[in-house]
Amino acid sequence: MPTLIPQTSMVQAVHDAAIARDALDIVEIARVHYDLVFRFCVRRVGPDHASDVAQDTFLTAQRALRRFRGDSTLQTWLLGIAHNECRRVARKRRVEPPTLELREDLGSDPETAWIERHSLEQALASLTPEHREAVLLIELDGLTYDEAAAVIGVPAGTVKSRLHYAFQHMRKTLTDGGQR
Amino acid sequence: MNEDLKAYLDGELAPDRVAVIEVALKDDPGLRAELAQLRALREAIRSGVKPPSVRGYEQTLGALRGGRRPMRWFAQPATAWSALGLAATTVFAVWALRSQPGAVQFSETASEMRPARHSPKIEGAGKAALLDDVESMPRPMVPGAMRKFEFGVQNLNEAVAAVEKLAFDVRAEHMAKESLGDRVKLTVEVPADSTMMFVQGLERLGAPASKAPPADQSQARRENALAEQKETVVEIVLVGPKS
Repeated sequence: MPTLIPQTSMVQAVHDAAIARDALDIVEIARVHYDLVFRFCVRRVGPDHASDVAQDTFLTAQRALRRFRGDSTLQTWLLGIAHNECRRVARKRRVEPPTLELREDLGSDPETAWIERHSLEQALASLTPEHREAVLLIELDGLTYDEAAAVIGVPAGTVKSRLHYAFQHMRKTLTDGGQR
Repeated sequence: MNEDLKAYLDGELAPDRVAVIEVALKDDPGLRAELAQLRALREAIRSGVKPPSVRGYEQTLGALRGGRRPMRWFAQPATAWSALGLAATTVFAVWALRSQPGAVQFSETASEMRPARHSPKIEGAGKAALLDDVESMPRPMVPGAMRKFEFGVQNLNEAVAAVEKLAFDVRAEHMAKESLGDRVKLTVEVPADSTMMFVQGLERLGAPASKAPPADQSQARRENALAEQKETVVEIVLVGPKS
């Protein structure tokens, strides 16, 4: 005679299985993507807040995983959440964008010899928040224009334009600094 | 032409634009020099910025497995018991001192009990941890900055799901749902800087176009002040088709 399982228990079992599946998935996702998300956060909110924001990103992703329909890549989706978390923390805690530190040996390559380390640090620090974000997304996070656009919720043409003006500004800052 | 140079360098241009740029590069030494500078600058940023050392991975895995953030040091049971023990010892010591004849006398007159002029300040990691915990507490809705929408929808469940997705997209931090027969009332706390995006999303779902800002200047000022720091409470009533 087959065992009769009360319906409520079956519903609970299905619910638990879904939770277990999601928990397993999100842990696997964190294994693969944690470094990327942490580096993304540390460049936006600094080292003091980055691990908390990265953790919040994955906890948010855990809650929202069922709604992820694969419209974008998982990496883009996670960075979109991280972008929102960074903005939230920056707004609530009044966090200024951290300075991007450069290697001591910058300029040892003949091609980049004209770029003085301190001047480049200044040029990066003087970018507007939008231009800085475009530079971070493309040059340091390694995203394509379309991926960067999906992360920050603007058209790809806007990313292209912001990046162009950011580089024009940095070139001008560097060449003006070099002439002084 | 110059505006496409960085995109050309990044391989992000359409083939027809690539051909145009390449012809221009052959003829224009100034453009070639600019391209070389852009390439050098890009390489300097990519290879020059120090990669940060990664921290917090294990804590994040722990939080994901446990489904919650690990307890702060001051909230851990061991710390709580230690604090309780210390408090009990202090109370006992004070009682013992007072009960001995000729022991230290404590002033109890109101004039001698000077209240602190300022609240004690908590700084550093402790402050960050406290802020974190305060933020995670359930909060009452912010009064004042509030917007209301009521509109009919073809499919109530789909409309609710769409509003929930919209709320998730703008990082809404509080959401209440109430079923009222053929209608559902959703109350959402939207971050002030995302309110416009949220309202535009609602309009795409069928909400009537939002009204002009209130004419009352004091009200407008109050809303602006709230918008600087707090969230906007948006109340949406979705009306399903009559059955």
